Amino acid sequence: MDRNSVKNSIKIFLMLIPSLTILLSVYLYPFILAILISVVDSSGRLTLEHYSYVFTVYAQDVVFTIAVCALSALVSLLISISIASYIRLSLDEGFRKILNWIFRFPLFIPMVVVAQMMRTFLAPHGFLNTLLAQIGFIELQEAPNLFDWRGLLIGFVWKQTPFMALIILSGFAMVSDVHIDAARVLGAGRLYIVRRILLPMARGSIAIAFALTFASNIGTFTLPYMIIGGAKPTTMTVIMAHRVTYFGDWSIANALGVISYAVVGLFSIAYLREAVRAGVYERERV
Amino acid sequence: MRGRGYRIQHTVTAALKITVLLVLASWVFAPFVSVVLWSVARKWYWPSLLPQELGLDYWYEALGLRRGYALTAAVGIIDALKTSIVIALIVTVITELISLPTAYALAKWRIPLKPLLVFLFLMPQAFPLQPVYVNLLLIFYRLGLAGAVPGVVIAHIIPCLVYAVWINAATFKSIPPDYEESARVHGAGPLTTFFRITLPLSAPGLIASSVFVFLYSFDEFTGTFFIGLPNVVTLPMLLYSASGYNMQFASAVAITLLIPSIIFMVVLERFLKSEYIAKIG
Amino acid sequence: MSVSLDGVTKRFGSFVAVNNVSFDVDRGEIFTLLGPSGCGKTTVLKIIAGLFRPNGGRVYIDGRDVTDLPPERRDTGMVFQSYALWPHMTVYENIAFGLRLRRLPEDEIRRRVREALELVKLEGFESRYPIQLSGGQQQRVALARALVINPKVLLLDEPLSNLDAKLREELRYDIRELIKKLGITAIYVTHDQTEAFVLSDRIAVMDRGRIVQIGRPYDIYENPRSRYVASFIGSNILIDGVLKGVRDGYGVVRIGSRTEILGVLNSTDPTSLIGKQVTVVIKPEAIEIRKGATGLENLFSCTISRATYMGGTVEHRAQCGEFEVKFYTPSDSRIEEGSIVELHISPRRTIVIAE
Repeated sequence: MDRNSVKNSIKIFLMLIPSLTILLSVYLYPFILAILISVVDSSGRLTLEHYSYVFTVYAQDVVFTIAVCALSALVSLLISISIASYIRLSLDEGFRKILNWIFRFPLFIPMVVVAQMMRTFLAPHGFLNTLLAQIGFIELQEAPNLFDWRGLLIGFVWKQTPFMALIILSGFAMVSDVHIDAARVLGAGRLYIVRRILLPMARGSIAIAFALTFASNIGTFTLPYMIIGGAKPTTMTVIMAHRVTYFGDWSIANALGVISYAVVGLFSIAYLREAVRAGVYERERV
Repeated sequence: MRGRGYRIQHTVTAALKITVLLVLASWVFAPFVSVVLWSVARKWYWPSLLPQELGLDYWYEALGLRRGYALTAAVGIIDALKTSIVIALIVTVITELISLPTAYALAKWRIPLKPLLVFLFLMPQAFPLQPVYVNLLLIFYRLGLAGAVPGVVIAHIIPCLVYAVWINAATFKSIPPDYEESARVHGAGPLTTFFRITLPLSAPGLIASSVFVFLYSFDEFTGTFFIGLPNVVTLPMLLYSASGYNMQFASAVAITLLIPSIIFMVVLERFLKSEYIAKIG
Repeated sequence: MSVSLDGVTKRFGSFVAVNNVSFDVDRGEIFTLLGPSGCGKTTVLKIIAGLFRPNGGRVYIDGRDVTDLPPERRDTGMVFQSYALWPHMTVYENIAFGLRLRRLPEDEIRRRVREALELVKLEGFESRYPIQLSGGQQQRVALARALVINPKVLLLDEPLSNLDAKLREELRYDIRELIKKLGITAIYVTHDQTEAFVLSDRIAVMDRGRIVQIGRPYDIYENPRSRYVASFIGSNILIDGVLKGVRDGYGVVRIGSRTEILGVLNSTDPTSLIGKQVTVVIKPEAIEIRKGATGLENLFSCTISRATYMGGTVEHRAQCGEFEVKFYTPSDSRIEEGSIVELHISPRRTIVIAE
């Protein structure tokens, strides 16, 4: 190593040190601490008892969390693909502009406000049920209580769809017009173009959008905490909070935390691998 | 001449478009309308679709202009707003200062072990943050940072730093190296070049990331919940505690929370748009 | 008539991309739209395909008004400049795309894809992906994809312009041969005049959204009707002058104060043009060196001002009193700069254009 490259390394190190210090000390250390705490018992020995406790007492909630988050991401995916397809393929400029403006609105609403909106909107005698009763869809006396998986699903889908649609839209934008025109000339209608051209060509963006949304759903605390709270079944994030704030119990909380890491990690790896594979085709030739 | 079949098809398409817009608009705006109505509802008994009596009582109460029957919250909306703004400002300044050198290095230099670094800077976005906050609380208990503003600031900085580094790195990367190189060729030192050339050119991107960080901190819930409560009451915390017992008051807080994001988004959109147009024009 | 356009106009905002374009293409004819980039030729092609709706005018394919039909119901085949092969599909799937849309049985699809690949000489490439093919091969797959559905008309949008010069020259002949073998009607868009001359039965020259001349390649080259066509085609020399009179069936054009040039005057009433501004179009190949000749019309004594070696030929620029010309000789007959030569400009091949 000559003197110049030593100087360079020092320079890089100095530039990185502030942010690395922060991330390593208050992010990575507690991140690893979660794993450590989850496998150590009160006397400091290695144990899996916290995990077995989670799987006996909270198995239902773990499955519930994964199922609701995956289902929400899936519904968001379907809606956002429809929106993105409409915007990409519509020839009507005005329609495209209005659509483009409307669907983004929830992007600007923070999750805690979404939760409050849903609390007023989905309450037994809230806006939605009153609306449905007015049309004659339901009886207000026996209005359903939506503060369970349904409320969570609606909240997640409402908040996450625009973000997902933006990612998918940027994927669709990378499909050049001639690829679409070529299909139209050969006789393809809109649905066929979405199915055979847009979706396969934007596979990577779709995979990334789904993985990001799912991961974000799994890690969300606000919405389930304000909509479901302690009712059963609830999400891992809510239980984690209860274990810490009510019982001062970090072991079970961290076991749940590590499980949520694992779920997100496995999911991301599976999907990102697919995305990388799809990326081979997405690169435009010159 | 245009055939009848064509006209019918045209009508069907137009009807479909309007239906799509209406369905999407009601889906997107109905929950918003619901929370706005709640914030101004004085009397709202089911099965009425709209409140029977409207009034700004809860807003007066929320803003501390009048003491009301429902005001049991220990902290008023104004105090919470002040706390939120102070925290968000501190977080924005610290985050930007820390992120700038890292973003610059990531964008412009070849860095050893870069994939590892990139992975570290992606982790907070990919993995749930809550377990980190839970253990941070444990650590902060010992350090006396739990339930204190500095603790909350640190909690907010974690995700904000990651976003700021990525946005700022993308900004620095978008500046062609020719500008900096020609400044260097004409005799400017590296620091002069950075402050006279790079920084002004990347101003729009840096402002965008600052606004993003400010809003993130302003709206942050989970970190404040674990680290800050019960002493540090920001607007989201106030909203959470109010929503348990007073729907109208909570709805007023919810709308207050929206104001800065909407203002910033409108301003930023305008600003970035003209910037963009200037670039291609 | 296979394809007809009647007064077709297309505007993008205030910009008129295609202005009142009309033409008829016969069955089995190769018709080329020739013009510089931005002249509206690709827009015309896209209007025929149905990818753009015209603001005015009608489009007919096989006598049927298709103006309001979407592209998927027009039965055209199109080859794009960038080929537009779908990168996520194999060669086989790319070609089978249009057949699947027509809900043909799988064994017929297989048969027709095989035939199409034979036609473009790409047997055995079925399972390759586009990214694994060379530019020329991709171009042939795009051609096969357009032809396999037996379109009523084949539209080609600069299909050769992304290829290198050698390959381009070769493929011109191949494409013409193929289209003629199939007897299909084709509309071809290009900015390359040589390509247009080699390929086409007829050429329409376009300028700023309008068609300025339609004709066989020979007519377009030998008889440009306007200054624009004369300057766009070949490497003609354009000289401004005033028509003085008519002699021996040729127009006599005065250039400057004392020079006169004779050329073919394409007008039904030549005498009405006397005294008007005209343009003389001189083709370099109509210029001959004559030593010691006398009594010829259009004989000028010129000084060679520049002789540039071009590889195979030498381009000479010569000052002939009040005008300048250029002409080419084989590289072994270079004339030294500064020497004086007698140049004969054949009046028969010189055109006088009134505007």
